[in-house]
Amino acid sequence: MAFFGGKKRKKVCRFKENGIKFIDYKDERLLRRFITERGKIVPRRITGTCAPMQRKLTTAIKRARHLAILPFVSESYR
Amino acid sequence: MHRIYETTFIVNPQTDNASIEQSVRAVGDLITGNGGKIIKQDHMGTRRLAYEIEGLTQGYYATFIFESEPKVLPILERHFKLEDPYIRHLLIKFDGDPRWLEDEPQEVIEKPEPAPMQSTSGSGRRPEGNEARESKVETARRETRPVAEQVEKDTAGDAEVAPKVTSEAAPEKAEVADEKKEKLTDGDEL
Repeated sequence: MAFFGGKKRKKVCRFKENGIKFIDYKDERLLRRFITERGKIVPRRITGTCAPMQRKLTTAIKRARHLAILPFVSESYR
Repeated sequence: MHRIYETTFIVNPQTDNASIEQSVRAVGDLITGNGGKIIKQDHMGTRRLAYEIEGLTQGYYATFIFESEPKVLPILERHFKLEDPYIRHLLIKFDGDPRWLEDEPQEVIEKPEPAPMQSTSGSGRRPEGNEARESKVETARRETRPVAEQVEKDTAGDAEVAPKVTSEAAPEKAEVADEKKEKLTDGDEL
């Protein structure tokens, strides 16, 4: 990976690194890390998550939203 | 063909405990009564809803992981829709590895271990690591130290040089972190 001004660092997939293959939609604490304050899903370009896991993450987050485990839009922004 | 399914549903908590339990058990009975087998059940209990549903702010969560014929699903769906106490439900094919259920049933419900991640979770939803940053700072320190020590020896007595070099490495890294945080919060621009 190129280093621009020495500021860019190679991002690693958090799930690959920790050997996680399955994302539980009930695991609020884990999923919270991948949404913004507003409740949006954080893009992979920022988190560094690998594509297969990002896909699983997205479905997990959407399922969690359906079950009111995660918000569609945070309370404070409504 | 038997398949493994998972259903999570929310029961209205504004009734007495007995009827909540009754509603939960009704689902289990429907599964077993139609030839299904419950592999795992988990009652998360009453928790806050992330948003209001039907004017409620709390809900009683329960999960069943079960194995059954696909024909059971419409029966369950119908039950969820017709009966009042259920305020939300999710009925999906279990998408984890079925082997986890046999070996260590705990793991599936509990969560696929975010343990190492928790230690680094400093600012919540920014998952790429403080870990990496920290170790980098550390290596930076390690690298600067010998030099600093040499300087110390050379300029004998002028001890200030050493701590300065090492402490400068850290704030710089912190700045990088702040920048990233900013990028994240104004997500609309991205």
